[in-house]
Amino acid sequence: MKDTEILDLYWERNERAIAESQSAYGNYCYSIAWHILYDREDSDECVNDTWLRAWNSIPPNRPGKLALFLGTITRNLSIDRWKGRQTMKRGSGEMALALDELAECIPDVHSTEDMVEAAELERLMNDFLHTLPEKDCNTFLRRYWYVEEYGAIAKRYSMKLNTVKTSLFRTRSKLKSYLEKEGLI
Amino acid sequence: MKKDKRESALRIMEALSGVDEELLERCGQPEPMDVCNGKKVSGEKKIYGFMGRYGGLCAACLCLAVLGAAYFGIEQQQKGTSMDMAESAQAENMTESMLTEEETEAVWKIPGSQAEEGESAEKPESAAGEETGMTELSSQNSSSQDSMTDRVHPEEEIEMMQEEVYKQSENVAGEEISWEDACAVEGLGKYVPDRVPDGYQLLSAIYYDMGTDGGSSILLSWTDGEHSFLIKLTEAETGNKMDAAEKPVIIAGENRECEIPKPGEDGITRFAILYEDGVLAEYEGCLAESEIKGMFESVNP
Repeated sequence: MKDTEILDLYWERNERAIAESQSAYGNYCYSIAWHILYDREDSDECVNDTWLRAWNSIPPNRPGKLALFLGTITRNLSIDRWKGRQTMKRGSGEMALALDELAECIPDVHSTEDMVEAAELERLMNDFLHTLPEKDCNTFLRRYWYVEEYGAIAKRYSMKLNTVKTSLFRTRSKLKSYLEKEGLI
Repeated sequence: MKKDKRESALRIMEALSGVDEELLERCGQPEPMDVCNGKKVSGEKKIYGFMGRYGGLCAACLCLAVLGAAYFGIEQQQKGTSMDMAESAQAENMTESMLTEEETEAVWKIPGSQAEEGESAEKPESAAGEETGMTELSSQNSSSQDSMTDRVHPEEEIEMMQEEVYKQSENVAGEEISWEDACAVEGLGKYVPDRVPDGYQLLSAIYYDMGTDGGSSILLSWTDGEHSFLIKLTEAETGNKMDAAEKPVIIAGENRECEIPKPGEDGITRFAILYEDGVLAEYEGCLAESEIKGMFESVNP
């Protein structure tokens, strides 16, 4: 079923929209949740919550790219769940590693209270990503949006593992300089 | 502070949720996973096709062909010029006693596996702004703006070096380990440098276990984002090691001064240090002499 047809089901408040979304994007959303949570139960719950959130937000939203819309919901839910279970140390995965890598981009003299507002940070990140060459941007997003392993990224883009690591290292350095220049602190 | 940075990193991670759809679309979707088994269902078509996979190889073959043709042409010219041959023969007769001031500065002592009385090399201080620019590995500093722009060291070069070392490891599959684990490897960990030049961060540490006959080895590589260097630590019989190194070998622990070999025509310095207990530390990279000295002087077995 096409995205437009699925969206029409949402707008008609037809519950088949959920089933069709599950059929079309269930695996996609699950993989996003899995890379962050590395736990089957939590990933299942996030995916189920994704359909509920989508049901509640369509309408009034009518996303242009349904896959990305659903994927973003799943990602946000997964990150929230990951934050909530940190003390339990359940599962393992790339999320903690990815966060440690991104922490390198934070200027040394800084505290959480000094961070700009979320909307402004989103704008900064978008602007930064648009300055990157396509390959570096893709690698960065696969690592920090999809939280994919280095090996998976290397395989996807037919790159060597060390090339991926070097690319991400350079991009993080650029991000740090960019955030400092934009006055993040 | 670390917790604050983590939280800030989390905010960046969350901010990425608002990234433009066109950028996300461009990077492709993740491989779908089987909801029941958590396994990947199918592979996706590779985004970069023939040129992405084989472009580098084609370019390398083309470069080799050009170099070969140029070398052949130069050789033909040299054969027809007897004067050139005489001049090159004179150059070959220059003796080691004609050390220049620069070469003299390159000599330094390497600490052996046992501390020597008053002979151990002075370790450079790790204060900020130090000329040698050494950094404690545990401080995790970001890249600096040191002036190394005149050395060219493409990222492919470190991959070629690693492939070469991999072949020397007799095609044994390596296991990627952390820096801490590398330092804890019995017999080899104590030879992992404590300090590396400013701006360099550990890129990878790979452990090779070649069984009871071949010993084990660790391959460490560092990068500052543009340049890289690697150190391979190997334990084995001394005789086998010196043959396998295929590099100038410096004997550590002896009471004599040693000279860092000059870089080759490719701009890369290669040498090995043989420690008293048979451990061989092979270095390849384009660090400055002072940086190499400072790094190996930080090794305190």
